[in-house]
Order: sequence, then C-alpha cells, then structure tokens
Amino acid sequence: MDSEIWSESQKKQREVEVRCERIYSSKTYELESCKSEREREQVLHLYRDVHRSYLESSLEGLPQGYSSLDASRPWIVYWITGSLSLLDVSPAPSMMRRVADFFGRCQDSRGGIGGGPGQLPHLAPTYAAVNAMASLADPVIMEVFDRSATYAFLLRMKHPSGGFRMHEDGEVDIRATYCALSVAKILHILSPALTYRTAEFFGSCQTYEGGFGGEPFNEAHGGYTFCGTAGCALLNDYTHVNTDSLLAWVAHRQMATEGGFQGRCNKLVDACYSFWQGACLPILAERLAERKGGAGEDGRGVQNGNGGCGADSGEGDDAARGTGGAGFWSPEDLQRYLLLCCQDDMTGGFRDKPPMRKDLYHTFYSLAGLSLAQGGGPTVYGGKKNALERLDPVHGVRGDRLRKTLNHFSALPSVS
Amino acid sequence: EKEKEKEKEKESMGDEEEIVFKDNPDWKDVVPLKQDDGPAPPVNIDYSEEFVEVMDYFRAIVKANEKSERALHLTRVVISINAANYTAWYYRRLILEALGADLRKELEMTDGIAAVSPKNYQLWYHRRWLVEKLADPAAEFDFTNSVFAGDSKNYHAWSHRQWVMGFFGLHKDGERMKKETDNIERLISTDLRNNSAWNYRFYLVQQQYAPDRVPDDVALGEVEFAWTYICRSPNNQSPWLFVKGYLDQHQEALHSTLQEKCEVFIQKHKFCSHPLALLVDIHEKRGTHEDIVLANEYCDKILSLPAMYQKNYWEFRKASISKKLEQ
Repeated sequence: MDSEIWSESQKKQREVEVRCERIYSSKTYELESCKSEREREQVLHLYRDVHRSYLESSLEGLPQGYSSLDASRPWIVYWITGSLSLLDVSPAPSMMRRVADFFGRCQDSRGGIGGGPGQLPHLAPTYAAVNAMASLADPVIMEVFDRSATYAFLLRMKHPSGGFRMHEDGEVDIRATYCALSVAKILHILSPALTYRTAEFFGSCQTYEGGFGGEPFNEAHGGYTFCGTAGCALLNDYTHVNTDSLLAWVAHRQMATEGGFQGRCNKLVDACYSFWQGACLPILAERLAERKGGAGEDGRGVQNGNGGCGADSGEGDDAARGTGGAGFWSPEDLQRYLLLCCQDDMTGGFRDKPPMRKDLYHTFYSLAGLSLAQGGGPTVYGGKKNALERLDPVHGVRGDRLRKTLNHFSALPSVS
Repeated sequence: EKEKEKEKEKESMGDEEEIVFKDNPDWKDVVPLKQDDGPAPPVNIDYSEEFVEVMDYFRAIVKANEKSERALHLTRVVISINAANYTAWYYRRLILEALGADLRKELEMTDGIAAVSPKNYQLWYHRRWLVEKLADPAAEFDFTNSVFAGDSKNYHAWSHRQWVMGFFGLHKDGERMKKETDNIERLISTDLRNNSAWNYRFYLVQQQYAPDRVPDDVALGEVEFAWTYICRSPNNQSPWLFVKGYLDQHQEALHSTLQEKCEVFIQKHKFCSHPLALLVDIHEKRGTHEDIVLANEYCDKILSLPAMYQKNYWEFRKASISKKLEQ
C-alpha cells in the first residue's frame, strides 16, 4: 500500500476492500468451526432456489422501477433466460411461446429488433434477443427471426470505418460491431460485406494499455475489451491486435483483495466484469494455444500507440492450451467474490458489490462469470453442487444450447 | 445534490411540466395507440398510468409521422420519463430538422439532462449530433468540465471531449492544446490515479503529431512526467501503463533509459512489481540470450514478492520465456 497522499480513487478503493475483507474473515471464522466437508460446503453456498424464484417471477412481470429499461426488454429476457439456462432450469413451453410472440412484435419488418414492440430496431436488443433465443434453443423462438431482413438491417448499419452503427443514424462503436458479428454468426448470415475492414476497426480501438475502448483513443474498458476480444474471435483474426498487452491488461484487472474484476485501471470492482473481463481469458487462452510462429500472426497494432509485436514463442503456447485461461488468473478468487460478497441470499439475484442492491443485469453476468471461473480451474468453489452449466465465452450463451442453435441455422440457405 | 439536479431538469423542461394529454384540447385529434405487447408478454413492466399515457400518445404521433411543435414537446416528455428511449431521441432529431429548430436552444436543453443522467448514451450521441450541426465546439469544454466536477472519470464525457478535439482539428490549435495540457496536469495532480486523465493525455500528444510519430524527445519528456508520479505512488499502475505505452512505440529511443531508471527504482522500492514487469518486457523484447536469462530472473523476482497477486499470470510469462531459453 502506498503510504503517501490518499487520492480520491484510493479512498473509494479502500472502502470496498474493507467491506470484502470483513465478509471473508467472518466466513473464514464460520468455516473454521465446521466439522466436515459437508458443513464447509453449506457455508460456501450457491442459493439456487431463491435465484430461481427471483428469475421466474421477473420473467412474468417487473415492478415500476424497470420502466427505465422499457427500451431494453429483450435484454431483460436474455439476462433471465441466460441465468435460468446456467442454473439448468427451463421455462415452460407456454413461456417459450410468449417469448417467441414478444420477439416477433419487437422485430421490425425491415429487419432488426427494438427494445420493445414498435421501437426502432437497434443492434443491442437484436443481440440480446438472439442470445435469449440461443440460450433456450427452442424451435418456436428460432422460427421468429427473419434472417434476410436481419441481414439487410446489418448491412444498413455497416459503417465505412469497418464498424457498425447501433441504429439508424446512431452511434458507431465497438459494442455495435461485436453485436452485429455475434448475431450474424448465430443466424448464419455472416458475409464478407459485413466483415469488411472490421478487424482493422477492432485494432483501432485497442489502446496503449492493451485493452479496448469504445471508439479509437477511448480509455481501455472491460465491456469494450470483451467486445474487441470476442469480436476478433468471431472474425478469427487478431492480426491488428497486440494479444500480449491485451492479456496482460485483462489479467491485471483482477483485484487482489476482492477477487473480482474492475472495469478500468484504478476503478472499483464490479460483479458484471466477472464476465466482460473474465470471458477474455479463456478466449485468449484458446488463441495463444493455437498461435503458430511467424511475425505478424498476432498484431503489431501499429496504430494508436499500441505498437510492438506480441512476444511470440514461435510455437503455440502449450501453457495456455485447454486451461480455460486458468494459466493467467485466479478463477477461485472470482468464485469466492461472487458467492460470498455478491449473492442476495434472501430474495435472490446478485449485486455489483456490497452493499448495493441486486438486479437482473448483475445476476446474469455474475452467473456467467461464475460458470467461466468454474470451468477455468480445477475447483468448483463450495463443491459440485454449485456447478453451473458451461458457458460459451464468445457469445455469452450456454455452450450446448449455442451449438444446437448454430446447427439449426447453419442448415438454412444463405441469404446474402 | 439530487434535489438540485431535479430542479435543473425541471427548469430545462420549461413550461412542459404539465404532462396531460388525455383531457387536453390541444391533443383532442390524436387517438392514443396502445403498446402492441400481445396477450401475455414476458417481462411485463408495471408502468405508471402517466407513463402509459405519454407512450400511447408518442406511438400515435410516430405512426402519423407528425413533425410539429407539439410532437417535439412530446418527445421531450418521453425523454423525461425514460431518458434511454432511443426511439424518442431519434424521432426528436427528425423533428428538429423538419422544423428547422433552434439548435443552440436544444444544446442548452441537453445541459439540464446531463445534470440528471450523465451516463446516458442517447444524451451524448444527441449532443454530438448537435455540435456537429452547429459546427461549434466552444461550449463543449465547460460542458464536459461540469460533468467531470461530479465524476472525474465519466467515460462518455472523456469520449466526447476526444471527439470534439478530433472532429474540429483542435490538436493543431496551439491555444486549445495549452488549455488541454494545463487541465490534464491539474486533474492528474489532484488524483494521480485518474486513469481517464492519463489516457486523455496520451492521445492528446499522439494526435498533436499525427500522422507522424511523436518525436523521441517529446516521448522522453512524457516518460519523465509520468516518472514523477511513479515516484510519488509506486503501486499506482496508471503511469506505468503510460510509460509502457511509450516504450512500445519508441523501443529504440527509450529501452536503455528505462532499463536504467527501473534498475535504480528497484533498489529503493523492493516490493513493487511494476518496475520488475517493465524490466521483463525490456529484456524479452531485446531478445539476446543474456537478455532472456535476465527476463527469466526478473520473473522469479516478481513471483517471490510478498504481496504477489497476479501469480498465475507471471507463472505463464515465466514459462513462455523459459521456452525461449531452451531454444
């Protein structure tokens, strides 16, 4: 701990650390008085039942406070259905039909999905709806998506920079670009017209820190870093990215005391980064394991002050292969943070950090991060009873359901 | 604080406080349009009556493609009940254009919204659109400063400021650059852990010389600037990342100097991982056999630090480097 002047950032950081330290030491005390492994496991508990109740009742209806998310209802469906899929709970067939009907009404006839019925189509709810559909992998929902209209929508959103706009006459940034690629991949409508210069666009968003910003020169940030990392994976093209500085940046965003991730250097831990940052590690592990020798294979990233070749060992990095990224970080510490500090064990759901209130967004990204962390090392914190279904880190969808969905759409004819 | 913000929001709403459409003679001709939710929508929000009324009238106006003053007023009301309704913001822009509205007044209106919802994407995009149309960046520096006063790391505000500088070619404007440099120095000296400020400074200098490289002497100057803050707070990663950023782009000019600086630094600060990490990078990059041996040794030093956190990451780095030794 630096012993000099305490800046504002440092004060805030210390407050959060103290809260987490108290929780961990009280749990340690509890654990010490346990007489068996079974008892220990009870202390380190994933409260499946209350989470399930919270999610299921939310899927039905939401309190007035959610009016501020009235332009993001497909997101809410995704957060809930994604969470349920990881807990291995399936909504009833009648709910599947209701979701299908709802997405149909959110879909614009010219393509793309809006935040609610009749709203302007927008790449973010489009991404969310596709992901909710893939999380459930129910044909009745799959049928709703108009592939050729969606393709036309994506083409309209394509920007000369290689990126995409979020909606007609809307902002161009790395989120929109990732959303477009992810949707196109799942619906089997990816084409050269869509991916033209997209790898360059991602490269232009990487900063000197190693992470990605929302637009060129913007500060490296966890959410945008996920979009860049997963986006390049979708393109299978990291030639414009310095993967060594990217890996170093992400690995250093895990907090020593708390165990969770921060979104930016010198900011506070937040459970949602368990996924945004956490997912980058298994993605990069795959990448580094595959990387063969040769200069320029992984990027020099000459733009934007992030130049310098990745330290290439000349052969695939076996240390990384198949580890789920465990070689780079502490998956067990992340699990501990989420289970001990972020769960609302009374009414279900997860929170950003104590003492904040839980919400559906943090619930999903906590469960997603938890699933990745469980797969990222030898330990499922608290025992096998806490094990969640496996999540695909590139799309943020339960792995087996994603595969089923990809199989369904890849059998369909081309639309481009 | 929140009270003041609510007041500001109400002020910017002007005489649009009265949210009444149903029994309002001015809206008599409009048939409100219900949300097409279907018989049993999931995630059914328990909207207030007022919310439903406003949205029903908005839907009707959009369907009729009406671009009038009253329609403009209605979009403002929708934004006030849900600032994230991007359809309303989009439609508002269409109306502003159709009416040839006073965009300066519109700009002032966004001041009020920023006070209440400074993290709203739609607000910032709208502001950018206005500034572009007005072709005038003058107000944007005070505007973003006022947002920073409440949150010195507001991502949208920093992004906006960068956009303004780039769009109006202000990196080549000496007077503006002086102001930006002074402002950033002040921010960093107030909170040396403000990573957003460090990032802004990095690209301020980059863009000043773009498309040319930053000259080596300037790069060295920037490194020296960062080093003063490194000495104050060795564990603060922001200036270390900044220095590494310059090293990556100016290997030739900086690697020896930085190696020396780090070697001196670790004599005094025996438990800090950052100079050791930089030494690993420098030696690994240089790549001779001796350098790789040193890089490997520095990895060991990092791994043996008492408060070592990124242990797995450094094990991985060491393994990578050790492989090079075998070759």
